[in-house]
Amino acid sequence: MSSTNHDSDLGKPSRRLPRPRLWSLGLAIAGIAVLSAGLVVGSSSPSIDPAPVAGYGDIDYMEAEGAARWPGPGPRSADGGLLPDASSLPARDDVSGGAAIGAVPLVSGRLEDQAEAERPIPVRVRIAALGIDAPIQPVGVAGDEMEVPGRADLVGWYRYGPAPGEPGSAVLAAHVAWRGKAGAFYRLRDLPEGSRIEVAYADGSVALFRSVALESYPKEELPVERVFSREGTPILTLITCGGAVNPSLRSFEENVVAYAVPVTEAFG
Amino acid sequence: MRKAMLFLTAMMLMLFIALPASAADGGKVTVIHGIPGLTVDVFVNGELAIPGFAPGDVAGPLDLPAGNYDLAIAPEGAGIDAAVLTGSAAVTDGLNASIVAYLSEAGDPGIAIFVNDTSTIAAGQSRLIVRHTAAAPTVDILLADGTPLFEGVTNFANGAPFEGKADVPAGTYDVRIAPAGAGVEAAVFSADGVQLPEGTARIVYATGSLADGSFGLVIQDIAGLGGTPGGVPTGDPSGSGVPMWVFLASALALLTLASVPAVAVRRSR
Repeated sequence: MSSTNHDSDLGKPSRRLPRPRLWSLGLAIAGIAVLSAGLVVGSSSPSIDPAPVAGYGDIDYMEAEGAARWPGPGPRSADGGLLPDASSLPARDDVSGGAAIGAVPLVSGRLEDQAEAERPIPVRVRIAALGIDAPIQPVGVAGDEMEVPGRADLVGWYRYGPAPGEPGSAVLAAHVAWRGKAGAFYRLRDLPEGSRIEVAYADGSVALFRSVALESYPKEELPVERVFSREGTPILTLITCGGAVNPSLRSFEENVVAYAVPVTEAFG
Repeated sequence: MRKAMLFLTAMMLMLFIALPASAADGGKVTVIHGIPGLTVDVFVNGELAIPGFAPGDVAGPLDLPAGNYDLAIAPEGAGIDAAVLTGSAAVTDGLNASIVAYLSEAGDPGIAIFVNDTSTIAAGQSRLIVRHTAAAPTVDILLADGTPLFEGVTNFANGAPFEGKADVPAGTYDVRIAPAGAGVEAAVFSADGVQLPEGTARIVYATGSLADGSFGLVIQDIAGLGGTPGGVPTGDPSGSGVPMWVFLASALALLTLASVPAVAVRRSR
């Protein structure tokens, strides 16, 4: 496994972004810390589809929002309980069904006709430049954050966003370290620009990406709207954690983010 | 079929939709056909907009600039002069509404207008909205294990409240519909494996008639409402996203607590 390679790098000085100084914490504290972290994390994950919990039985009615309410069967008058007077609006004779509205999408809404679209499922990511070759686990959310697999050697794919290569930002995230082991993305901070990234899918196909940028953000400044964007140019976004040079208590309060774009021809 | 036809033919309808304007340009209107037995054409301002509109179909959304629109519904192929329903609709900026051809609890056809909640849905959640537009009594909607989702859902024509709405974890659900208060064992309708997609408002219309076996569910999706996660907690040991100082403080506390009994045991020997 690639983690062996990572372990051998633990003591090397940083070439680019500073490395987290896990080992600089006292051994006793680190040992307890790992145990405690296990307790904390264990309580929130790794269930992918949390069982329905609180909130069921609560019914929010349109009435509570002052929304439209149709009083009963039969013909309606123009002011049949619906909202403010719109008589000042212009008649839209200029909009006709054929020209201005265009073709109206028409689908069967019958439950029995519903089918979830097949979508590519990424299963493995390889970054030769960093010795990364790690399996991917689809993940969702834990609390209000992206779920991250509770293992050192697993990469999480945010399955509610696009798959790598689909429009928008496909997010792969892994721990920088987990329970004293280097995580799958431990060396992400060292990713050279132009590196070749391979993503293998469940159907056996492989997509190629080329790294174009490497950023580090304080966690509270992670541009989540962009990172988790579901539309626009396809971007592969790789995320782990990083931190300050000195082993202060803020060591892991940054996100290291690498951006990559799809490439159609083999390279590197 | 004939009943619906007769009623529609006799009916003249005025639709009137209006909401306070928002920043959005124009409104979105989706049309749902929830009356069994009659395929129709829908005309907007005299032009054929939705041809061959069959029961169970969902058309739209139509992007309509703000203004008043004339609507007409006629049996398929019969032409606008044969309209069985006519009316007008006022569309305002930012409106997102659903127009539903429905049956009342007693089986009388009509048209309902619902305004849709398109606010952002938290990451990982799906918005389930249920609308009772079927010739059926008041029901409870439950999970297969008896957990209630919505209780006392009544045909909207009986008067408000008539819509159940909740944001729930995205996933797959086994759903049961039972007479109100009767419990899941008395379910009159079962649907296993109902998908509630993340970031989507999935609006479920109960349509048709329980009595004649035409009862069914029709689904309208409003996708693209999903929010984003608040962060990416990749920094073990604070894997839960708990700030480092909180974590270290608790670690120290644990260390202290753990050391006390250890010392005590040693001294007792």
